[in-house]
Amino acid sequence: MVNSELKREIAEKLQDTVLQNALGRFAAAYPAARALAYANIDCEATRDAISEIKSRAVENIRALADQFTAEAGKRGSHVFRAANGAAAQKYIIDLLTAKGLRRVIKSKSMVSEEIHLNDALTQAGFQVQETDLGEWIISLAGHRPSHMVMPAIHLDRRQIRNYFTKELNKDIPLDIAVMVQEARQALRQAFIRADAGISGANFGIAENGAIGLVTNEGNGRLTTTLPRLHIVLIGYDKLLAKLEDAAPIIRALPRSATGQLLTSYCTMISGPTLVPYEENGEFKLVEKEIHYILLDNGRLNIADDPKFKQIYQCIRCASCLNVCPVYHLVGGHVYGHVYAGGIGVILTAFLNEQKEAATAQKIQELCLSCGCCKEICPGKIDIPGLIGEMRERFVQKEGLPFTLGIIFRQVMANRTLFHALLRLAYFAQTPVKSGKFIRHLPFFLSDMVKERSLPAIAAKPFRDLIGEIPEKPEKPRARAAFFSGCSIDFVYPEVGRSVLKVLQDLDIALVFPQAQTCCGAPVADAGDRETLLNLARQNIIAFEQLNVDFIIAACPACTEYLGHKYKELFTDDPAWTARAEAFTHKIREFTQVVAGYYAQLEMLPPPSADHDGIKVTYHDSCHMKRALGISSEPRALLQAAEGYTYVEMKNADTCCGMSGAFGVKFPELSGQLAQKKFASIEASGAAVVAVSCPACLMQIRGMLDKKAPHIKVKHLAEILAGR
Amino acid sequence: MPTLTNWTSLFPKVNHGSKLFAAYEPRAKGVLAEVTRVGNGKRAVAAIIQLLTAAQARTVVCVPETKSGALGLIAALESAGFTVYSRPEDVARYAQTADAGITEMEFAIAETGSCVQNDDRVEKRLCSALPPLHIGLLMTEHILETIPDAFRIFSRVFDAGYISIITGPSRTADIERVLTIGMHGPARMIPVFIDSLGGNADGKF
Repeated sequence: MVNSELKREIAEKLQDTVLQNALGRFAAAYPAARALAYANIDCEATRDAISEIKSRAVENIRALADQFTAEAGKRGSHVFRAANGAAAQKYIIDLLTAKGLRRVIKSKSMVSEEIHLNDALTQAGFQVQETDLGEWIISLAGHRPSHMVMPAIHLDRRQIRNYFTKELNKDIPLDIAVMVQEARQALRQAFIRADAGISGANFGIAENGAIGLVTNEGNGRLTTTLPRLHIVLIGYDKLLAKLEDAAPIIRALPRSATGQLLTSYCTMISGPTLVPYEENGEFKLVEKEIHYILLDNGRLNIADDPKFKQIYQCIRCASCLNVCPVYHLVGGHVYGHVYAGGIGVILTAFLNEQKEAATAQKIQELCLSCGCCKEICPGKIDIPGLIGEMRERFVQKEGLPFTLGIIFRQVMANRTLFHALLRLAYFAQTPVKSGKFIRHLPFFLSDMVKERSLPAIAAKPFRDLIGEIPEKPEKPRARAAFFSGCSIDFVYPEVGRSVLKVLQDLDIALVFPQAQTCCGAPVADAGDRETLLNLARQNIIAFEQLNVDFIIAACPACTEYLGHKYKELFTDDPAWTARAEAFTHKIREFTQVVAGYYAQLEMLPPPSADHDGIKVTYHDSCHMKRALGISSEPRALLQAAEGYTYVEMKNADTCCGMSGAFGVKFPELSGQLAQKKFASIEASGAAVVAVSCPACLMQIRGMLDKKAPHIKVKHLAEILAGR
Repeated sequence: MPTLTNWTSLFPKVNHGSKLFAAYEPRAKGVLAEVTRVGNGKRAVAAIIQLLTAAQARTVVCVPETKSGALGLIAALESAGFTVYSRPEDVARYAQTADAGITEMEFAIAETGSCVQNDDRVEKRLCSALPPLHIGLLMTEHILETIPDAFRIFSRVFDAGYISIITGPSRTADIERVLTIGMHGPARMIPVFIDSLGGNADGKF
């Protein structure tokens, strides 16, 4: 299922120490830099403004394009609407040829990368010079950009010095300041000699036909000031209605991209001005020409797509890469096209006339769905949600891979069979079981698990245990139903017992409907909407007749599906939508319920069963923190628990690497993420790690079992049950 | 219609004034702009001469507008021994080899430590983009608070033409993310804030 080429590239990148060091340092520095940059404005209001402005623009995109074209024309600029990369290339080549211009300088343009303009111009005999330092470096190296804002982040000063030495044909010292001066001098000559300048645009304004350019180096200003011809490459997605609409984008772009309040230069241009021109030693000022190339290349199709039109909200800051745990490990090249990281997966799928759709299909599997990017995206794009939608559409079009199709539709959709097989797995695993862990889970995503240790299936699932536990209390404070999820039911029934005990201690009566089944997260993750709907209906039916005040889940992934996603599933079916809404309305996350009752009843968690003062730390599950928004309650409970000393670990909310099928598809990446988590845990000095998600429990326990068996991992329910 | 020139008449529509200098200054210095503030025109001229002398500048390109005209800046620089080019054709010829460029700027923005230049005239861009040192003249009272305030002004004045928002010197971090100044534009950016033009180089005030 996972492409072997991709696996090979990942292995290569994990070995690249230059890349690993650069990305490691950047990952560590970025969050604080970003936070500091946003300290003097309202970050959330800015994100709201951008998402509102850009979503309004896409609704109206054809009219905006017409207005932009007309207003630019009135001010003397030419506008060419290019359907695709080939049309844009042809227009530029014809224009340069007709004017007899040969020497072209470029300031940074991702659109130019998208349509592979440099290759086309070079092949047509033009001299093309990149002037952004990073772009120049990678053009010397013959690489693609590995980051939208920092294209050469994967190279170090030694490698770059060697490229400079070769290009400039002289010895260059290993001193970044001197290297930059050498680049300035070399590129300055190119600017002075250039006949034409090609730039991108960070935005285009319909009301006056202006474009905006944001740069740090000043190459944007020179590209648009010195040559007689200025060609602007701009995608439809960069159009805004009004000049004032650009303000929040200007505010957010540098803050999100590099943690700057503003880049050194922000330039706005509308219509030609004069340019200096030397003729026979005489300097004069002459009129220039501006040609805008408004590029479609898939963009207008997306504008009509109810879900994917969201990508118009992207301002190309690349902050989704900057916070992506997988990008931090592999860099940008693994993503196979010019756009890397979370948004890159989606842009790669839809821009470039879907030529790269196969690449996108391959690389989308790299998404952990951890939600870090969604949380900080200045355009508020639901990147993991869109990647999920991509998977779903792919499955609708191409069908599920054969084995998954059988497992999901024949096994998981049939609860009796699914649970029977899980029980059978307990017996089947016994011969290879070692301690609490086994090498092979003999079925269930069977072709994916061979490289991983997974926990053993319990001898008795929670659904069998519950009948053996005497029902307390007699006069309950509240009546609740428990949705265990497969992991607690079949792998960690002791967590289920703890949930039960904690709630009984609060005088809450708990019922466990036996007809409940998988929440559907794993099948949804693989894009199987059909099975997800089937499972959702089974669960709604299992719970809707119960006379309970609420339904409790102690797995945040299950809670997200039951409490949020179910109600969005039945869009064409009002009756089921109503049933789903009634169901989701009752869903509560375990920790929040307990924290609420403790506060109401002025109760404290039970004291530590271990020695007094034992250090405990908390790992945030991605779903718990970013999908459910729960992060303070678990910490407060641990801080209040007598006998424990709470310590916060570094990067507590970074994904542990399990993330559904990701952990079994990319064991090497998952292992690296687990290793990072282990380093944070170890540095915290904690003897107990509390988690609120059974998947995290599985990943972290599996890792600590090998590396530091003296550190215990417990579900919060176990700690609150005094275990 | 080219970019309007009477920007200052619009300032009363947004929060502005010399009171914002205290907020502007640390942000500008934070991005390595060499912020200079003087009380009057005479001091401005003296400060500029001192800056150019310290930088061992000899050739200066300059685009005089109202402020430097009122200060008699070009005459003062020439009598201090600098070679000054200010005709557009001369700026076009000499900007790439000049030691410093001097322009007038419209306003500063406290939020980001930036200075805004109405850049329709290419010679202003050349003065502020090609030499290694750029001095920009501003009035201290012309400091706006936020980027949205600046865009409120732009949306009234900018129809066609060229506007630059300049925030410190030219910089790059493309090699190992190490901040390095002076990539393509000036390595030094010196905004000179003048509290009051009164008092020119001839000492009339």
